[in-house]
Amino acid sequence: MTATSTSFDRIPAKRSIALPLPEVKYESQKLAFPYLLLSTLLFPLMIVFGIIGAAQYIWPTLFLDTLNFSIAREAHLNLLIFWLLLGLMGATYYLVPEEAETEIFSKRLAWIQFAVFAVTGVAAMLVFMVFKQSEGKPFVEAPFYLDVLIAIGAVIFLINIGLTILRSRWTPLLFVLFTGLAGLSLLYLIDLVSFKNLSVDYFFWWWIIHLWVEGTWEMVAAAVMAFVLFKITGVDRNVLYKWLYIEVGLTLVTGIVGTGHHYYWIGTPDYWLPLGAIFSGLEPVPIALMVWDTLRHTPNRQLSAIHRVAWYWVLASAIGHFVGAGVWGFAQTLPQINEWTHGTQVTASHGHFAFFAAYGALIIAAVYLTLPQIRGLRLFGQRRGMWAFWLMNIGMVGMVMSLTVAGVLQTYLWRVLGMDFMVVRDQYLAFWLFWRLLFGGALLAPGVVLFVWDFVSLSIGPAPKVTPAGAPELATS
Amino acid sequence: MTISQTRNLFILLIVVCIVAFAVMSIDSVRKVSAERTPPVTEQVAAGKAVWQAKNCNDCHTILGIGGYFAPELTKVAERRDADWLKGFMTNPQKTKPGTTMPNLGVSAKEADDLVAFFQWVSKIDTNGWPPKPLVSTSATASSGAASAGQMLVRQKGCLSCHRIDGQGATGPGPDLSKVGKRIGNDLLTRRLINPRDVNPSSTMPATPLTDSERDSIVEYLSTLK
Ligand code: HEC
Ligand code: HEC
Ligand code: HEM
Ligand code: HEM
Ligand SMILES: [Fe+2]
Repeated sequence: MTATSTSFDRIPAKRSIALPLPEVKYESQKLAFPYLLLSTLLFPLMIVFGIIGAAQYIWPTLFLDTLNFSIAREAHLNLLIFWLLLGLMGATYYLVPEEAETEIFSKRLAWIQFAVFAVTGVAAMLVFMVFKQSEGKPFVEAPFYLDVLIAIGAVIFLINIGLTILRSRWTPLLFVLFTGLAGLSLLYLIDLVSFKNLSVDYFFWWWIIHLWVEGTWEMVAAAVMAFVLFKITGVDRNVLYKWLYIEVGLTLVTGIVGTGHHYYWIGTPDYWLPLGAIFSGLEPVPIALMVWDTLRHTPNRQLSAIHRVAWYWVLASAIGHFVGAGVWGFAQTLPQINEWTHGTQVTASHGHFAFFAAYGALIIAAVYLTLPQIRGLRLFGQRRGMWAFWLMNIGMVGMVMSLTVAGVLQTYLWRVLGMDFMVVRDQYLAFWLFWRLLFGGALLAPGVVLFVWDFVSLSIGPAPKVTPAGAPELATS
Repeated sequence: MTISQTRNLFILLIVVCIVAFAVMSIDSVRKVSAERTPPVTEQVAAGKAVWQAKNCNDCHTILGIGGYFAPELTKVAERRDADWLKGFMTNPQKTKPGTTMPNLGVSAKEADDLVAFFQWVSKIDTNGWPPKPLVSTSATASSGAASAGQMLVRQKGCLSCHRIDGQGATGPGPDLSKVGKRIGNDLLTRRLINPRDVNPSSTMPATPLTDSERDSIVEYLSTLK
């Protein structure tokens, strides 16, 4: 594989690129496809609700009686969680057979699990929009009976993946991956309980939100990232494994007690002020290590030209993870600052940046790495993929910057000067929130559409021609 | 270090962190329930249930958590009185014409429960959050009867139609920042008893006030020059 691939190194990347890759090694790796497909289709839907919410900031009476801001936001957030988790599950189905060197335990279970999630997803949207039911806590608003279905889907998933690995072998990567998946499922069970005391309710709610994105999801993402890096750069597996433990270990050591950065002002004891500050203040360290770890593989990567789009997304994910989660998160994590910025557009700027880079970009990288192999493609145009890449990333950075300016302004006028919330929102922030809408609607959204188009055309496009010598024909896309 | 040594260290460190976190969590939840929040009555719990079932939290923040679209409500029971809150939540348009808070079909009983819930939330020990503004405007610097009047102007919902020194709404009522210059105490009192007495075509509602409440408000308004 290596010998053939190096010869393609200097192929001009903007044109179509040959993929001298074999098809998937294990038939059941193709189970990733339905998950990645549904994930990719839900992504633009999530964007639609984001745009509606952002537009309601500018035109507050838009859909006021049919689809008000709270419904738009809950749809946006739930679809976010949903497409990301489906993407991570798709990546898991792809990588587990290759890493464990065996087929998935049961294909049927995988399809049943898929059906459970698909049905739950559709039902949740209906419940929010038509029946207007909600559990009322952001990100996890689905009502109890749907929570139960989600939990059942998760159990099927864990059994299927767990038995696959048990039948074969545990590698460090599989160990981290599986612990992360089991952990995030376990944490989700908290959503089945509700506490009468709002402070207690939110205390445990953060176990889901924070211990997901700064704990268990990080474990899953680190495993997927390690796998992607291994596939793209062919670095020594043992080096990757060791770094995986070190990075994930530090992430958890800082991230678990780091939950304290959400316990400053919600009625929890004041010892969380120093504890949250110190531990969460160190959270950027493992993220910085991860960036360094990714970048140092750049010089010796061998398949750069072939995996151009995937590689760009890997870089965007690593760098964006550091800036969006590490820098933007750190900027508001000390109590002295958080006291003023807590619950403002500053929070929203960080939430967007971190989620998009750490998880969204990684999943898209995984899609570009795995889809051609699942489809057995040896050739595919990368131009559309690169356009989608730049549109999405520039759009997201523009959105984040607009939100940051809006947030700092809001903090100053509302919190520091004590002006009225609505006056500040409508008269001072509208300009910046309009830019958010523009960056999101005019750059990010078209980028997402291009990505979906690329996904679909890679999925259903005709099998490319390969000349007898094995040298690919360069199609002009 | 070999891979398996790295793994064992990894597991050890994480188990230590989880145990430490669990111990602190148990302590926290105990302290939250026992000391840092008032007892949760049935009505407070019912109010919380309405708050969540209507998904108010994806527009509003409470304790700083939620949507950033609408006013933060942790201390709303301190800036608005129960009657105003109840009126606004059951029928936002009637209490504040032109508002963009949707009518979510909150019943009178649900509104009572929500008020109890907001009063409960405002008493949570939040380590002093939200912080007091650093810069005090002239409106926050006055004292005595005037400051009682200032509180009332907030609580009785005058600021949901009027603006004083940058605080409150931009309409439909005029800016009152300099009202003391324009209108004398008598006229102010008459206006508060019955706005139509002063301006027959007035759309300002006659807010029910006790005599002393009215006096405090007039006293406060007369200082705005
Ligand atoms: C679609 C978004 C939305 C939803 C959902 C919503 N609100 Fe509001 N709410 C607003 C907006 C916007 C305002 C500011 C209105 C104004 O000043 O004109 C507001 C104002 C308020 C106020 C007055 C706050 C103040 O300081 O003046 C209260 C109290 C309130 N809402 C309670 C609720 C409750 C209780 C619910 C759930 C039953 C709820 N809201 C649901 C948007 C919403
Ligand atoms: C529903 C909206 C609304 C509420 C609530 C409201 N007002 Fe008014 N107010 C108006 C409008 C509209 C006007 C202008 C029309 C008029 O002259 O009556 C007005 C006029 C006034 C004026 C005369 C201002 C001037 O320059 O002529 C004063 C003083 C005043 N309001 C005080 C109050 C006080 C004090 C409260 C609280 C007890 C209050 N308002 C509550 C709508 C409101
Ligand atoms: C991939 C990793 C991360 C993701 C996806 C993420 C996402 C988010 C989101 C969505 C919120 C808003 C939650 C809400 O609705 O209230 C949030 C809040 C916050 N995050 Fe992160 N985050 C990540 C990492 C970090 C890191 C590493 C830090 C600190 C160094 C951090 C610090 C904070 C703080 C302090 C808040 C609270 C903001 C407030 O008070 O309103 N985050 N994060
Ligand atoms: C066109 C693009 C988008 C628009 C216009 C948009 C708009 C919005 C709006 C209006 C909110 C509600 C914020 C509030 O309460 O005021 C929101 C929240 C959020 N969105 Fe988006 N969004 C977009 C894309 C994305 C993407 C791509 C991601 C991540 C992959 C994302 C992640 C989030 C998160 C995590 C929150 C919660 C933030 C918090 O609680 O702090 N959004 N978005
Ligand atoms: Fe966090």
